[in-house]
Amino acid sequence: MTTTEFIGAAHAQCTALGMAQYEPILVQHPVQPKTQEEVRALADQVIDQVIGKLLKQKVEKAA
Amino acid sequence: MPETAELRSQRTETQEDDPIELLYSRGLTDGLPVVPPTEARVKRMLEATDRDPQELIGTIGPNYGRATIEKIAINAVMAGCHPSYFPTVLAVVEAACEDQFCIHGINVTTFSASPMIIINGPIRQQIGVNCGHNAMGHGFRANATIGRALRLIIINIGGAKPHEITKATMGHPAQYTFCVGENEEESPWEPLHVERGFRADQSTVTLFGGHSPLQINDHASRNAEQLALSLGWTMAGLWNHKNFPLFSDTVLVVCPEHAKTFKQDGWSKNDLRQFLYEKIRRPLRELRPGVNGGEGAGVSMLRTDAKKDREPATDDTLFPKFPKPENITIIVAGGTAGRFSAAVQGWAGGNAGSKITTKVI
Amino acid sequence: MGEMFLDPTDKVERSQKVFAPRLDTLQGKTVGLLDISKSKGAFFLDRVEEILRQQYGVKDVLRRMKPTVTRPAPQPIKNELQEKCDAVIEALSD
Repeated sequence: MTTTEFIGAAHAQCTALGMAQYEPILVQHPVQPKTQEEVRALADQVIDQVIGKLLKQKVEKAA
Repeated sequence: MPETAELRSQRTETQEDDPIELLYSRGLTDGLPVVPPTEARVKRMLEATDRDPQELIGTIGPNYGRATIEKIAINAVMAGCHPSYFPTVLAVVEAACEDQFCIHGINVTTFSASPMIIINGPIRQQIGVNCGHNAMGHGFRANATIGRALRLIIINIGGAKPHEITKATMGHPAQYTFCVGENEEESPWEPLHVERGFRADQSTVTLFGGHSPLQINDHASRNAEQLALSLGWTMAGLWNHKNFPLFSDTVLVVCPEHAKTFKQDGWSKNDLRQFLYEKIRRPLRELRPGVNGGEGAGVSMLRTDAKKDREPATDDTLFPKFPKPENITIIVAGGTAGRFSAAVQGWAGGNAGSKITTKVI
Repeated sequence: MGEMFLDPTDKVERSQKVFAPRLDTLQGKTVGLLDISKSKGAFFLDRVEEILRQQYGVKDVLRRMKPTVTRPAPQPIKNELQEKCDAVIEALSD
């Protein structure tokens, strides 16, 4: 996972490591000046993408 | 170059009559025109060494491209190096490829770090490395092209190109080239390479992952203590005015006139660095984030002290700018007229970052 | 014929990595969260861990942090994540 400012760098590094086809998940730059609550909100925004990268297909959350 | 050695790099024929434009169009420069690396020029460069062109010195991140003797020679030609500089360039690349130097991190950080090359020993006179007036400036082929060779290697072999994987926020001119000879002849002290365990008659390169120099004017201090405080409190602003302590090393480039002031009071390099460590301190209350800067020390400073079994820090606890005296590296360079020294702040240092690295030429 | 010049770059052929198979479910799985040590990244991973535990029924979350932001994760950390985890999330570059 990376911030939007680093997508180019992330692609270049992925290519150098033999993972040219990998697409990192992006969150809006910057992170460092954000408050704790703002950073947690970023996680809420992208969690579906994160889960989607780990699973074969979209699954229901546990009861 | 051994007689039976062969060059393996791909050859490209320029279709147009201006090979310099072709090299630009292929993204192979630092922004300035480069010397076209013809086979004849590369072979002349390789004649300066007995080593096999296919010998691997190391890999350069972020691409982990292979810096072979041949590839280094090609980039040295492009930089404009004279063949007599090539052994020095090889030592520079050897130092850069040491794991402890962390060249990958230096190449991609937003901090705008760049390797500063310090040259010591007889090689300075042999190949014309400038140590005097304009020591960190323009005008001398050895300084200009040895540093530039490393930058081209970082671009072409390491793959570190601005706006791609290299994300230096600001950058600085020393990223084109940053190579300085220590002015051992005007120094009252042991040269850097002798401090670091080498003989005076050996020639070495020392690499430091640093930022652009901060020049410090002092034309009035009349004794060592006064001058040291002047230099030290100016250096107190390195990185950020509330960054106490730095998490990095610092190189202090003392000009010859300032070095004389220290000599007249009998100060050694160790005396100077110990003094700076002890005296350049601010209380925690001045280091907290506030209206005079959101970037500052905070709760972590209190925790750090508690972890080290010291009394927990209070608002009156003094924090040093320099983490330890040995985090200050001192060289003498520059001209014999003018009282301007310079400080080069480092990128993350120690085990967490880059360590100063010396190689024999 | 124009001038011939030698290539200053290293054309490194990289074999493309094969990704581990995706999981059918996160229920009962161990998920590794690798913090790259940049400021505030831990807050992000804290929230990810909460969600994984509360909403996706993971068995365990293994939190690890690179010792320094300046270098790749050390091999022992990579080995541990590979051995103990069914999936790994690494964040957050800034």
